Amino acid sequence: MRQVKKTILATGLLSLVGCASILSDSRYPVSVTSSPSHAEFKIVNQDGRTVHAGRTPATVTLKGGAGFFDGETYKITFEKEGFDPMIATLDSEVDGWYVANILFGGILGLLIIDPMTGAMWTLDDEVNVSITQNQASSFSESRSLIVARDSLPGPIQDNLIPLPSSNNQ
Amino acid sequence: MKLVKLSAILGLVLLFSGCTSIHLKSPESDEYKRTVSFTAGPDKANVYVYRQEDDLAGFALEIDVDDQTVTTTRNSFFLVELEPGTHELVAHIPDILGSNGEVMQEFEAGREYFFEMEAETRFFLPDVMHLTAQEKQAATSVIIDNKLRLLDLEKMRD
Repeated sequence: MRQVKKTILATGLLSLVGCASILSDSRYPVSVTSSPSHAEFKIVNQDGRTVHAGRTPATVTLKGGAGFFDGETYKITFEKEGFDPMIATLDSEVDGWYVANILFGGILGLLIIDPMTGAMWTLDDEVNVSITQNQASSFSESRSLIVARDSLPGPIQDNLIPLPSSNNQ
Repeated sequence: MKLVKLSAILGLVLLFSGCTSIHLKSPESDEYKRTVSFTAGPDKANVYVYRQEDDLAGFALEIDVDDQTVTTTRNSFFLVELEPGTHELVAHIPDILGSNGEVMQEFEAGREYFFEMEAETRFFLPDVMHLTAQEKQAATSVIIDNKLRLLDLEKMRD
């Protein structure tokens, strides 16, 4: 009889929680990397709040949900001196475990518990971007800049030194 | 059985319904401006603790810094200046179940330390209180970008 009561109690508790709430998390570690590394990054959620900032590579923990039946969208801005800023987007997706509510977890798990706890959402575990060197930086690094001679001011034209060349006349 | 249920519900209600006064410094105040310079004096360790939106955002949550208890609210932060040495921070989960966030470490004079306090629930019950050390850049971005409110610890002591 006691065993029956325990089983009923356990079943009752299970019926109160969603499947994804049991088997999945509502927060996820996300690895943030860039190529090249050591870029500053800032993660802003869809409400415009800064939730994390740091320097690549880093691992941050982010929530999958933003509210009832509302997945989260993060904008991640990458900045590094000499490189063009870049924005990556990280969108939550419906967690596969959420579908298992059809088997157990039931209507409560499907329509209330998992959407409320945010467990119905999942996030990719990695954001990796390649940031590109900006043009000004490329020129300054290679120390060469091609311009028409006539476009330079007179005093600079006067100080130009011709490069030795076999075709130089 | 009905009595047990009623007691449990009453217990939960009482657990979350404490009267707490939380005082905040004006962002225009000199102290606020001094605090967000995030610079420690030469003889003290500056410890900043901040709390954003979390699973218990609607609740006032307590954290002990050694013997001093600070009541926090969402989107707020505070600064305590500590003598160099070992100190303990304990962020309490408001439930007999679950686990507190605890940090015990050495704090050096002239340095700034940042901790994020975050409450996590499971099945709608308080579960884990996180107290996570953060890099200065990360913490200051969160505090300034989100305009977190500065807790007035002096008034809380009164």
